[in-house]
Amino acid sequence: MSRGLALGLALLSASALASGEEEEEHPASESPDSGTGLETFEAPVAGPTVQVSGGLRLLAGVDTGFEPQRSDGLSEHVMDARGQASLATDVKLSASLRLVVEGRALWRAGAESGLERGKAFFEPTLGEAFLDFYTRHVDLRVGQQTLAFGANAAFAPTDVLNPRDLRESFVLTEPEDAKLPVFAARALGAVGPLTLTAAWVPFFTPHRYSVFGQDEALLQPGLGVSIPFDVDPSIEDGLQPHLLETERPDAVPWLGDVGLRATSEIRGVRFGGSWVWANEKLPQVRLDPELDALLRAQGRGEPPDTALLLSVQERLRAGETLVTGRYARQHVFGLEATALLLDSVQLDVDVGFSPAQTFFDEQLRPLRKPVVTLVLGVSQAEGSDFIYSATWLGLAVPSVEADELLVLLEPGTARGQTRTAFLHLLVAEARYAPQGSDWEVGFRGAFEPVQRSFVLAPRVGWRFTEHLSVGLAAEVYAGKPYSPLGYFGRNDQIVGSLRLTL
Amino acid sequence: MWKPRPLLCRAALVAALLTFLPARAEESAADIARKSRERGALNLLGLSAQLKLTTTSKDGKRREQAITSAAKKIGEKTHSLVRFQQPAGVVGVAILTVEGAKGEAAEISLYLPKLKRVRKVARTQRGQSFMDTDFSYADLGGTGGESDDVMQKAGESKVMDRLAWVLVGKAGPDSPYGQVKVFVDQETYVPTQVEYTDKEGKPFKVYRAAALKRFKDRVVAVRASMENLQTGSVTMIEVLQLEEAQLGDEAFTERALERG
Repeated sequence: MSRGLALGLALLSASALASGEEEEEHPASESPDSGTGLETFEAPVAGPTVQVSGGLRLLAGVDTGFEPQRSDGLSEHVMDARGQASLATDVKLSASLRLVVEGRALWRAGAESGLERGKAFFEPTLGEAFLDFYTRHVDLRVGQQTLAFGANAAFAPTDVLNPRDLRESFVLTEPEDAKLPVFAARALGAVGPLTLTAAWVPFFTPHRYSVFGQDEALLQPGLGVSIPFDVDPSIEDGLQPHLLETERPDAVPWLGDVGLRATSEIRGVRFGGSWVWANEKLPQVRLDPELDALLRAQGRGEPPDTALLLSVQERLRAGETLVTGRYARQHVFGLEATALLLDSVQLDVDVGFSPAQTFFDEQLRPLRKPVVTLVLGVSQAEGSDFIYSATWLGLAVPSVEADELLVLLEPGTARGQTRTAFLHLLVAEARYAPQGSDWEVGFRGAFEPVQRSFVLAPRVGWRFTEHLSVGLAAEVYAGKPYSPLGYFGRNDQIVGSLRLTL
Repeated sequence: MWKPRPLLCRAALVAALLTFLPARAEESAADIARKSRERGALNLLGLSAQLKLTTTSKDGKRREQAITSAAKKIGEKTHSLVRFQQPAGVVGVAILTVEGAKGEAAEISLYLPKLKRVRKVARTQRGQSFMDTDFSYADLGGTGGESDDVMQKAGESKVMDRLAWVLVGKAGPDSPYGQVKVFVDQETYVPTQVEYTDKEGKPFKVYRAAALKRFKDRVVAVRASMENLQTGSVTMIEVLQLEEAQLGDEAFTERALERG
């Protein structure tokens, strides 16, 4: 990529150095028209241009350890296969009108130990599909799109307008691939030195996630819960999107999500601020305490308390709602800055504050807490065989009560006093791809120092042609089962990949 | 209708030629070098162009890249915009370069369509080879990093069956080259061949224009190559389309990079 940009620079410099004073400096007698005997370059007929792009990515993974099937409904897949395809057409109707339509498809299959409970699903979706209208002062984009707020591409705190696909591997997927397009109207304009962005997302779209039944599911054994029912694998994945929710935010004429961003640049430093008022993309699930107690007893394999059981039956008969899954709204305020350091490194800084955001305790009960987020990122800003990036994410959640515990963010020993909970996460990536060679080697990893959990994904790749490449990677998790990254610790696997681009 | 008499026309033509020829003959090497540099490998100011670059390595491996390019002078600074169309991995990537003030490097911004974000780019070193091509910043930013004032006439020659001035000069300290020899077409001022040595004086690269074409009031090298004599690799540049740029000033801003 950086080599690509550099070539662009080279070509640009040619055009940049071409003088703008042609007519004045070269009178008619010097004009090439006067007898040069050269052919004339025919100007093209103006009209729409169409560009088609697309790709296919196949991944196949085998676990390094085969865990036997579990009785709590949280057995792991020991073999996984995934295919992602996209096909997009980009039509420039005129200098001020552009239409993009993209289709995406996801196919996934997996099986537990002994190839038991094999299952697969196919999920075709609309990718980006928008109409652009460019004017001198404002560029408008309406349709299914990906919005970008903040400086850091993966962790900017105000970049919450697009839901994420949480079914993707944290280290084997590019952060931008996990971002799902939403229907939105966005205006991008300039007022003096300010670049302004205003976005409106009228229809609610939650994150895509699996509650159970996949290796990246929200419920893992480290949480100590079990699935209180048995579901046939053929319908398991189809159930997931609605398992935790009982109600979604109202759409039009209600407000939807809104975001404003302003950026400017002084002496090579780009800085800005943003505000987002949006629905959270994961539901707050609240279980009636009596029902919760019954389910936990069942999870422990204990007989239900008869009095509780009768009470719950009576209340259900009376039409009481014992489970709710609703989405809360939150304000997020952000400041951002981007600058070049030492003329070769890009530094991104994001600071975010939300007066109320949903976290969960170890019983998965929602807790609304204010949160301050700091993100520092450094990355390569010049062409090189060696590419790197590193991001530190710091999260501070004040006012955590003595009897509360933020699940996975805090160790179990944190309980006991009113405190501010902290999460520190270092995410890094490095890649070495010698110029002119067809191979590359690299890794991506994350480290969380408080509970000392980490994930590491080394990778080697080979490019056969411009359109076809293959790779081999490993995904290794370490840490206690109840820690941010050790939570997924049984997902260690070897993954082969194939990428085909049009 | 008034018709010019043939004799009068001929006299006028002779007079014009007599006026014109001595003027050209008196042109200094620096003037020729400046005009030639302005015509560089490509003269795209005020134009939008679609270009294809094909690089063939010594072992015959070929790689193609396609870009669109446009440039405009806004205020005193040249603003240039390049969008990648090929290869597939960089489709939609766009680069905005804003010429720096005198003595300062250009500001370079890179738009990454997957991230929907603009990144800042380090000022690239002039001698660096980019994207596995045989061109470098210095090659295309003129004829090799030499100053117009150091160029000296070294006679005449024929390139592409066209008369050319031969200029020779020493490259500057920032250039990857030692000496640069430029063959400048006498009718169009387009550099039709440039020969470079490295800092040790060994033959390094040769730029050759392969086809010139008229477009409106200028002449453009629509096909050219840069050969690296030390690695055996060659990059061809081909102009696929050219049109008058209709872009407003706002098209050369960071916010317009995502327009595609």
